[in-house]
Amino acid sequence: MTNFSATFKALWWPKFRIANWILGLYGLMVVASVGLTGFSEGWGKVDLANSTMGVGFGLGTVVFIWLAFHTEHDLTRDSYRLLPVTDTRLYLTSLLTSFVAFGYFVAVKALVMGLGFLAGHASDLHGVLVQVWQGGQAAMGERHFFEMVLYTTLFIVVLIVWMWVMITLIHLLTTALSAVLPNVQQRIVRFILAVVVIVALIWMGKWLLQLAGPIVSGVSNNAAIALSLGILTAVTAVMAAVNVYLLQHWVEARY
Amino acid sequence: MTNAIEITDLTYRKNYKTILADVNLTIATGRVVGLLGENGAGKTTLMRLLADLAKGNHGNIAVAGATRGPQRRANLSFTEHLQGFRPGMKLREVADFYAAVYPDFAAQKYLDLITFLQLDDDLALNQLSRGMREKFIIALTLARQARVYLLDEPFAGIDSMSRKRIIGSIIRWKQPEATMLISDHYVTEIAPLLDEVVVVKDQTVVAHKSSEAIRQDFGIGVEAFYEGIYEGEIHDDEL
Amino acid sequence: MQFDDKVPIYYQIKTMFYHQIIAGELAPGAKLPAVRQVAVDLTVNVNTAQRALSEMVTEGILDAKRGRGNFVTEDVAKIAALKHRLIVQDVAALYTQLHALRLDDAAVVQAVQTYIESKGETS
Repeated sequence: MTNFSATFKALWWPKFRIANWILGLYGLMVVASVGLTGFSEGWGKVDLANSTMGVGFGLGTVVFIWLAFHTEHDLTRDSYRLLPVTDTRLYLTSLLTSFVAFGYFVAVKALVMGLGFLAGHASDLHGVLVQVWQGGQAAMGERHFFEMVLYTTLFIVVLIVWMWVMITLIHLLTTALSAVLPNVQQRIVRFILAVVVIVALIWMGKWLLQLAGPIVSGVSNNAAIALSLGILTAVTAVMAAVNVYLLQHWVEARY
Repeated sequence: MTNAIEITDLTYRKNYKTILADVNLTIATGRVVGLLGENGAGKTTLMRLLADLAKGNHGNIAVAGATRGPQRRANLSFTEHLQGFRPGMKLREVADFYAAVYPDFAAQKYLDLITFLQLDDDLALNQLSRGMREKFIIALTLARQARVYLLDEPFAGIDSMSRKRIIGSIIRWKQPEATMLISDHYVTEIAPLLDEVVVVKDQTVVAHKSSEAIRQDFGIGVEAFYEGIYEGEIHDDEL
Repeated sequence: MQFDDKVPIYYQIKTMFYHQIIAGELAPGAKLPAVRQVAVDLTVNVNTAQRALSEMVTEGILDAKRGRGNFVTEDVAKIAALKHRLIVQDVAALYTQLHALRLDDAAVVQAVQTYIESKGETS
């Protein structure tokens, strides 16, 4: 049997590569932005804060989608399904590697932006930071500000995981159905599935918006927010369990 | 002693179509067994069921005594088509992946195999010809010290020199206690390699015989035996 | 080596070695290759090569020395007996075939004699 660290490494490298690819792209964009400003407006006008933060919108989404795509790929290829590990470990490790790779991407990009910001605002950096910090605290109160940061972080983490789990669930369901049902019934079931997914997404979106407002503004009572986050986590866990079940009993790898 | 493969009452359907029905098969440890049958007879499916890659079957499957999927996969080494790796990946990197995830992967055996099969593992997957790719898959599969090897049509569409090399590597590197199941629909060249043959026809195993017994009892070759079964010249009561 | 797929392979391996022994290519006391090597050289299954060698050991033509391998027997009488056996076997086969062509014993002898003489002329 393959142990966890070997499984993690095997699934990690391709995802690490994806994150690095997009980081490389981001680096090129920054360089291009610096070059463009430098040539057209003169090198004195180059503002590293602008160049690092003003480009690369949407790259996070690209990484997110690419990682999701790769996870689905992992789960339906012999090369990975042949590993002597349980489907639970394969699935959770795949999810974890995606998450770590995404975190790595966000961290490096944030670091670059931070450095750009430092270079651009080195003179009054202290002032800017104090302003941001105190501004937040002043608006919400010290305690609420920390809670806002904490809940927003948790909220984003759970949401990202939930979306990947959701994508996998839809993918595995359609794969399993295509192996079980004949063509006509497949089309009907796929249509029903699509309707269910769209309704679920709309309902989920509404719920998330309702949830997001109070968290960000920091005005709602904490117990309610914690409960909502708990529900979202539980839903994610149940869907992940269904994914593992589908892998164990229904979903065949492509060959 | 535990048998290498034990299949009882195995039935498998896909899209309401029966692919395999009531398969019973026991293969003793240490044998080289030819799995013969026409294209689409269910040879690959049978192997994928053994590896727990095909799902939703009825019946029992044990590989070297193990019945649960992960343990079965740990006991067997299967020729996969390397679809999970990006085309630009170097052979060395694929071997590193194997070395990392399969505890029984023997690095020295792998090096001996690629030398014998004349492969350059500095090449990338997309630089390989069909024959080289097949040889590489064999090298990866045999480099594991598994108890059961499943070689799915390892000779399909490759030149005769590569074929000879692959056959040579099988003889040279198979541990005495390891069992090998080789599927093919063209048997003459591998006939001297086989201890036993299993013929799959009409969704089930119709014959399972020692190849020397076929020569002794029927006075015909393995190929003729296989064709005889497919053309209805050899009947159930003769088996 | 090309095998006849209709005849058990182990039997063909035995016959091949017997011919080499009688022809003197494998001298009395000579060491045979290891089983796996035989299998690799002839591209046959190791179990088949094993069966051929162990039958030759049982028949007394090979001496199995523990841990050292298989050696051609140094008992010349056994090799002579083997040679005699193979000759009888081949002649018997020839005789049966000719007999099937409805040649009587005298005609068989005549046919063989004529063949040998004509062969002498052409070569």
